[in-house]
Amino acid sequence: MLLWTPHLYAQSGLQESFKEYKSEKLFLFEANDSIQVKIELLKNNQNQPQLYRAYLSTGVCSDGLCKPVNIQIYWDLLGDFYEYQTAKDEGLTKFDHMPFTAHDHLTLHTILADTSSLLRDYYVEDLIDPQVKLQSKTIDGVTGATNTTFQETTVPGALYTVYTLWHFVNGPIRHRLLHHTISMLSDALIKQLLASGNEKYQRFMIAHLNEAQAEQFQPILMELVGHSKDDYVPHFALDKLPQATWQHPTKYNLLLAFLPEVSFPVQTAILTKLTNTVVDSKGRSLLEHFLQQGPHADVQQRLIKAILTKQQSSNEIRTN
Amino acid sequence: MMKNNRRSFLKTIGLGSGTLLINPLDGFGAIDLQNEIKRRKDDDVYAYRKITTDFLVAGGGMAGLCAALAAARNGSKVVLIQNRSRLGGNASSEIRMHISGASQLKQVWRETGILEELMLTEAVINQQKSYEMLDYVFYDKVVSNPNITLLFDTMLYEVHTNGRQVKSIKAYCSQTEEIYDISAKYFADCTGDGTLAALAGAEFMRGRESKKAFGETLGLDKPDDITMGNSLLFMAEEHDKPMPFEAPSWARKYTFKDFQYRKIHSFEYGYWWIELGGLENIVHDGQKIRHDLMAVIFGIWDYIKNSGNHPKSANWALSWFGAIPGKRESRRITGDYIMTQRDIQAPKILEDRVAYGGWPLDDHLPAGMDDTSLDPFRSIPLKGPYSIPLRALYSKSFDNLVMAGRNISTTHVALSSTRVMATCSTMGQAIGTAVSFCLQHALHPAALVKDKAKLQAYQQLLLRQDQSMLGVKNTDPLDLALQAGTKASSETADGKAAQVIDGINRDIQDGSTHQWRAEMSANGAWIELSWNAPQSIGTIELTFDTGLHRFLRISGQKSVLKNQIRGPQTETVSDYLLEGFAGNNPVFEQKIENNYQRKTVHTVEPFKADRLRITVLKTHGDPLAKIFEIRCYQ
Repeated sequence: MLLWTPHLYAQSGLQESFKEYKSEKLFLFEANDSIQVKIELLKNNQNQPQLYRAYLSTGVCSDGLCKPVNIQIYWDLLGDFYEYQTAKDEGLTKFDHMPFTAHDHLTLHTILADTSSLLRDYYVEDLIDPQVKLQSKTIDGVTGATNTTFQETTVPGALYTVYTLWHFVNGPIRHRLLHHTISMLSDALIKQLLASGNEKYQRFMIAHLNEAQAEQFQPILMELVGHSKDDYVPHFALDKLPQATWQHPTKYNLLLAFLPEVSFPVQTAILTKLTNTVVDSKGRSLLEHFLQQGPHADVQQRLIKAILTKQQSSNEIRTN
Repeated sequence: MMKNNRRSFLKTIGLGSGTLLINPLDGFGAIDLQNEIKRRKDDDVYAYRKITTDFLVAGGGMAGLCAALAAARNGSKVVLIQNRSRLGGNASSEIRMHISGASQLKQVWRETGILEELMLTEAVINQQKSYEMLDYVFYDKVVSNPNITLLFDTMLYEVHTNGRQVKSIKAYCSQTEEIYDISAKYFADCTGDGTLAALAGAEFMRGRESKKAFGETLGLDKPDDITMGNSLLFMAEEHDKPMPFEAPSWARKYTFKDFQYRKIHSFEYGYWWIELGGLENIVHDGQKIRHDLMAVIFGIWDYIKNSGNHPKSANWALSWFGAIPGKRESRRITGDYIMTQRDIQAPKILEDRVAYGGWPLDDHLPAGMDDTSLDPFRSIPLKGPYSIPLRALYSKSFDNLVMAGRNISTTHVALSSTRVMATCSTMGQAIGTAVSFCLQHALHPAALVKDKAKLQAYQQLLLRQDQSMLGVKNTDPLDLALQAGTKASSETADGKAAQVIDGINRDIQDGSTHQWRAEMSANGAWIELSWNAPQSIGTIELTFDTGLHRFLRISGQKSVLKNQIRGPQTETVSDYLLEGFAGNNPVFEQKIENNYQRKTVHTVEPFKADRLRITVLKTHGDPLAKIFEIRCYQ
């Protein structure tokens, strides 16, 4: 179930499907300069939480050269920036009231999505080169130009806007939103996140599962071992599977059946988990079949042989 | 009996004595040996050496090495004690960390001065990239200077003070059973750990400060005792056949997911993130941390070789691993100035600046390899270099205690940038020069900072010896070149001849090249200084271009060496002719070949001339003759 593709920004506003989302008022959040913003939760028509949204209207230019910011901001369920939308006649502007170009919007999206941007660790004054002044053509005033080292961390001519937005979008609100998501984690939401196809959501959710939940959502975890597109999610899912998994033939054979399809490190991880298991005849044939498909690296051959040998020796014990 | 007499003799003349290690086969009888054993007392076992010197430098890492060289070259007698058998500390063949610094800005700011001389020398004579040969370059520079007494394997363990003066230190040599009792006028703590200062009872800092303590946004909400961890490196080589590896039982076990934030890009040199110990006492738990790091190295190599995830490692085998871990952080000795985050991120021109840094604010998570689910570092790039003041390089507690290296007066946050070795080297040159200057002018460093005229004279001395300080230009009243006219065989549009006396000896990113540039013709290219009246000239100093925009540092890692020049730097003038003329009469001539240094000093029999010509005969490949600066002295 793929609801959206993260980090794919629609230049002309939000994707069509978002329009059908219902909004639910959550809380007031005190943003920069003591401005209160209303935080809303957006749900789809199946009542599943999708995004957070806030409407921000604030002035950002200390030198009076820019217009106020009027913008709707969207975060995902982990509190990470997702998207923004500007009101039709009050778009973002740069130095001398030049409107943002499509390229500027893309740049801003990239910057706002970068949680470790340099904007995090510098004061806005430090990003200005005091040697270089820009003279306004429209009003009587000058402003400092962005220091060359920092040009990639901003939209040229809109440093104050970008800086203010970044700190609002990536400030304490992130934490607040994440905690709100944690507070509403129901079985349905856990399932939704695990099955979202979004590896960020999956990593977060796997890490947050307690033992009982790992038991409850075992089928989805197994599915993630076999079919996640991410390099690491299958490993986290494997580690979260209850110990009992490795004693249940119906369960471990499901994982063994994944062997031909999954990546080499995931294969090794599955085999390593099975080294203390006496596999049944179906498991044995799955392993043998996999072995025949070779060639396999030494490490996998050793692991498979160890598992198969364990089977034999325990058979011998039983026949005695 | 003969031996006992000898001992008494030594005691009488005050040289100290000691029981030598006696081999019964050496000719002393069994009875002598028995007497020897009976009489043995603690203070008799060790040979006792009393030494008096101008300047005691504790620590032979990059900071101490440069401090000793700078002081010795400026006329001070120096004793350099190093608790290892090699110079270079974290850079030496025992540890093999990169000598990092302001090159990381990827602008024009490679460090100059003694470090540059060492790195240029090393790049030329060590094209085989042997780390032991790097040690040798340091060794050669130190032992070739008659003002330096180098004591290897010597660890200080006691410091004697009187009021605001450090008087003497005691140190022990593990190889010779000698105890050194060293009195000096000045002491430098270049130990890294701040051991000398701590033993003296000087004020120091440790751990991580709160945001509030120094107004640092990167500070913590609450201060703690935690430091960055230590690292142990390894090297490996590729062979022409499979090289199996079996890990020891104590090696840690790693799997694929341990490396989501720690990329194994290549096998030949690994990896700064093999780091541990930040949550322990970084000094006193060092034995355990070292072994834990060994368990990590061998665990990671086991993973590389045997997990199947790195099949290209089949023919690779370990060839070396670190003898001792490289430390990033321990004590920081408090000076009259404590550098903070603001000094790094939004630097101001400090009046007493003596060096600069340019490494990012690069803090590492203390857990290191104990928690591989976390990104191991957080690095915040800088917009440009920042100044390091002399006030951060001497102790506020003692008048004659200076320091250079990671143990200078900074907060934890500022240390995350100042700690790297190229930066530490320039601090070393600054304090070594300061000590000599102070000895000559009967001042202490704190008084030097307050005496503006003396401070400027000291900065001019540093600059003349090729230490760069931001915004400090040559105004040396003794430099005859500054009063000269300039003329050249030719010059490029951006390389006017007059730039050799513009006072700036490097690219400082202000749009000017600050050097004379001329197309090399068949006869080379020349530049001439001329005076209205004849000048008596005894010293000619030249500063050449060595490509300070590039990295220049030995590395075990191929990718780090990729854009470096191992050998003479292309831009540098190789062969040149110095000629002096009185009117049209030649009065002086000297030809220099195979130069690869940035700064050359020619002290000659003084001659009187009204023209000095430098003809560039050959460069190391550059089509342009390039000279940053020419200085002339009586």
